[in-house]
Amino acid sequence: MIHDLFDVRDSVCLVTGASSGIGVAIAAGLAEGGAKVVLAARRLDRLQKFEQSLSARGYSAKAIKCDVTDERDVSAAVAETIDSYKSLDVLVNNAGITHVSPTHQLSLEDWRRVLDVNLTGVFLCAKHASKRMIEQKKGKIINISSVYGVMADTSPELPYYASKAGVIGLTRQLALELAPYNIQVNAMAPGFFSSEMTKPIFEDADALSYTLSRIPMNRVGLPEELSGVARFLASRASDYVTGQLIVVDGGWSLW
Amino acid sequence: MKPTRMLLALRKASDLESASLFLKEQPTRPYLVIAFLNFQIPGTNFAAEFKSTRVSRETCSRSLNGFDFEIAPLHYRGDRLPASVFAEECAVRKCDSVIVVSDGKKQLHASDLASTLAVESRVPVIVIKP
Repeated sequence: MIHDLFDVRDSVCLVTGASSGIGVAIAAGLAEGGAKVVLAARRLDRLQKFEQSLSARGYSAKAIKCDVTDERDVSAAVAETIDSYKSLDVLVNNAGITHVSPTHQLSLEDWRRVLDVNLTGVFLCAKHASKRMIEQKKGKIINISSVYGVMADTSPELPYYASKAGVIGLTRQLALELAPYNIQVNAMAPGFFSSEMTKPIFEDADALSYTLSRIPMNRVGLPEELSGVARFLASRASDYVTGQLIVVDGGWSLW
Repeated sequence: MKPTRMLLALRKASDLESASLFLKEQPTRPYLVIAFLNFQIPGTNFAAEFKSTRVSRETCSRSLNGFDFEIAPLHYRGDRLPASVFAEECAVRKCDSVIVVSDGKKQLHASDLASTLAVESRVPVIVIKP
């Protein structure tokens, strides 16, 4: 049956950046589909609240503190996932930050900090997760890019744009490398969704008017509109899809 | 044109003072509907609840001494342009004009609240600078 193709029951899914925003939406969507979600982020207190919320609703969830820029943390998170569940089926590389500054005022330190989380973190998590997935001869890696990975905009966040574009290139190459091992690697590029990162826009009616007027659908995206795509990429329905980018933006990048 | 019922579309609390300075110089004093967006974006239990800058009756009374007014927080979920929300409220409240503050930022490419409201509104829109 076709709906069985989208079944993620008992899949072990490691989601980074799972303490807020898009990570929460994706992790919740996978958990609601019956997956065993491992929630990884730096803020353990927020992670544990989310874990408790999912567990209270009867879903399988485990919180792990993890800084994706620290290779030891990443290695430990993957190891703990496998110790707990004997498998790692899906990695969602969602952890990401931004820094707002005109380029001529941007410090090297801030540039590196954003690139470390958004791009190097994706590499480190993919490196360690793929080791296990290669042994399993199967797996799925979902890298969260951004609509800003495919377009420019007025907001001065150069390292963010650069890193999210880098995630797309990384996704394609990694997909090629891992294809022989039956590991699919794809990317999602969310548009305008509610998150800590977009909160300043929601608190500014002018910025909100500007942003929404440039989105053909004239509205913010809903969490389930991301988690639905994540479910597709995490399930058998996408077994023949690899190296691709799915832009979830209400048409924003069409201009 | 002599506005009798005017919707004051607030972006933030400081717009109140800007609007007040302008309105006090006008020959007539319309009844004011002071509207602002009250954001609540749908999401999981842990999705952030965004709140716009609100104004209180006390703040309004101080700024708009001599005006009759009511405060109208507008429930907003990010499902359409803010201008649409204000324009709809204007029609519901039977206002015959709208006043809004614009910083006129060029980088917003004439897509700020005032610009989009000028397109959406069915009644005249007065745009003032802060």
